[in-house]
Amino acid sequence: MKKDWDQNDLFKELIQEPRKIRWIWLVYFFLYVVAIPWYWPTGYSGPLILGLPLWVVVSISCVILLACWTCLVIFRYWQMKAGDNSRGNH
Amino acid sequence: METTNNPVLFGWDALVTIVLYLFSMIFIGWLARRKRRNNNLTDFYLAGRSLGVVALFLSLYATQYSGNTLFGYTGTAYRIGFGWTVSLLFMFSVIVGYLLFAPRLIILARSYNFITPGDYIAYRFRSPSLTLVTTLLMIYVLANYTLAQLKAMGAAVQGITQGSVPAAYGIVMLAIIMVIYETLGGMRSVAWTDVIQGIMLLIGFLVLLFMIPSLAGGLPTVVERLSQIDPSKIQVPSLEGCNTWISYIFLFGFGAAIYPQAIQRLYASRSLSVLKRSLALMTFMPLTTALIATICGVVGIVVLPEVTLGETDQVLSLMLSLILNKSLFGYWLIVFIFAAALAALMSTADSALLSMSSMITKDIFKVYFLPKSSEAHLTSVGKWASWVIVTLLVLVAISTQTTLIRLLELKFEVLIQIAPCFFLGLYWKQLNSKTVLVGLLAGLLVGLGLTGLGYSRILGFHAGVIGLLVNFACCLVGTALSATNFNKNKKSGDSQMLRPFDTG
Repeated sequence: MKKDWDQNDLFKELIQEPRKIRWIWLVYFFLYVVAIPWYWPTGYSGPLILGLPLWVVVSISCVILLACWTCLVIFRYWQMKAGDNSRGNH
Repeated sequence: METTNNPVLFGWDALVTIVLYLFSMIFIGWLARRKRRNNNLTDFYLAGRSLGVVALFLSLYATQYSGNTLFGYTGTAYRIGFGWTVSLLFMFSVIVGYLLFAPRLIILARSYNFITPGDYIAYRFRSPSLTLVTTLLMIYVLANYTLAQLKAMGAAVQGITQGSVPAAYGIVMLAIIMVIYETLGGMRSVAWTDVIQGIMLLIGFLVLLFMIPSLAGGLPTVVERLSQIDPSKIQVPSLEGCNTWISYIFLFGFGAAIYPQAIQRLYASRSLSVLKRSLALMTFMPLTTALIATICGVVGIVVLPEVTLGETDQVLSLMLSLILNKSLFGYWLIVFIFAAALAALMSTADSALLSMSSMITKDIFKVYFLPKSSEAHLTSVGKWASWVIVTLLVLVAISTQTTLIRLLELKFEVLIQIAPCFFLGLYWKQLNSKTVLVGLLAGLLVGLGLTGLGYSRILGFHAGVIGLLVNFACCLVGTALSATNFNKNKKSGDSQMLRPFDTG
């Protein structure tokens, strides 16, 4: 049935959609895993970088990487047949 | 701590400036009304699907980042320290949530002229009862959300006028201004005022970044001091704390992404290009808002060590009052930041109000009471609905007390249970309305039940997220059973058992 669903006429408009590309979500998973500070020792604060504790800098850096990655996903892997300037009406 | 009850004190010159700024919103509403193309629901509630990048991005920004981001997030960072860095991650996760369903939703929205989230649910599941239940839940959540903004508006007005204008009067005045410009031009008014409000909020946050840390000699000095007086505020969260991070990511990724006003902004974009560029810009916004609010809250721990737990939402106002008294320049900067704070509150409240009005008009009145009404008449009904909603909410806002962040969590417990309709409904062909309804009720029962019993978090996970897990499990089991029955019936020639949503 899954195959039939993907062949829905309207959704055929989508050449690519992020949800269908599994490795995109592996990258998200990896960045989220690093962004959540579960792996640091208990009570750790670390040296200061730009006035912030190291673990905070690592989490913020991951958010920046996640944002950049999301931009790439939006522009590269969300594509419609009619192009980006289509109003999408049928 | 003399300023605890009256955190920020403005003179008449500042008050007049702020009142002028507020009335300029009505002028923008009037301009938007003049740009009206049609007297129909699409034009009123979705600006005729004409929003460009600037309007859509700033409208998404001003709507998503509310007064709660300024005051509530600063207060939470004051209470838990750098552990509130999670706010960057969960605000970012809202955009990831969109990526999981928006590509398909906007195709359907354009093809079938959806105006409300209820339009999608009605089309997809063909179940009036599911559409009604989800619509009522969304209206409840938005009412709750608007209530939080109204209460914060009242507190802010009472604060800056040193109590000479009671909170109730502030709430009434701001609510009237908001509903006037909203009913003048609908989404076009709201989006245009969001542009002004979004720019003010953005500049306001950047100003805070430069002003607040300097109160304590800069961020490195603050962190050094904290390592001596309260090291727990700069240390990594415990494992249970990390569970809460994960829980927040799910809470916002699934919950905030399906806010009706956010979904309607996806519908209102001029083109896919506009939507993609706006969402791309939004991915970086946590760095300009949630991060700055967290830093301000942490600085507050050193600058104002004696704020009591119930007053932490006032930490930012209290720090602003310290800057206000330093110089004339500081004074006017604070006036600007205060106007930005009002902008944040109003832009969030007006969007929620417009969304509630659209759902009451399109999903309830049109379906149950006025099925043969013209679009022009329904638009008029929608405007009246806005006035009635605001009146009721103002009455409630004047008579209740609770903190901002608690309100935020309570509404997510409810909203997040509608997530399967979008996240699964657009991809699982055999997910039917009965399964969704059972999952939704089970999720609500678990989420609200646990909260009611005093277990708002278990092992760090929010009750609403645990409810969502139960909800998803119900959808999974229900869909598997439907698929089995479907295949059996298909073999026996009965293909009418399921009504998968077709292409019309």
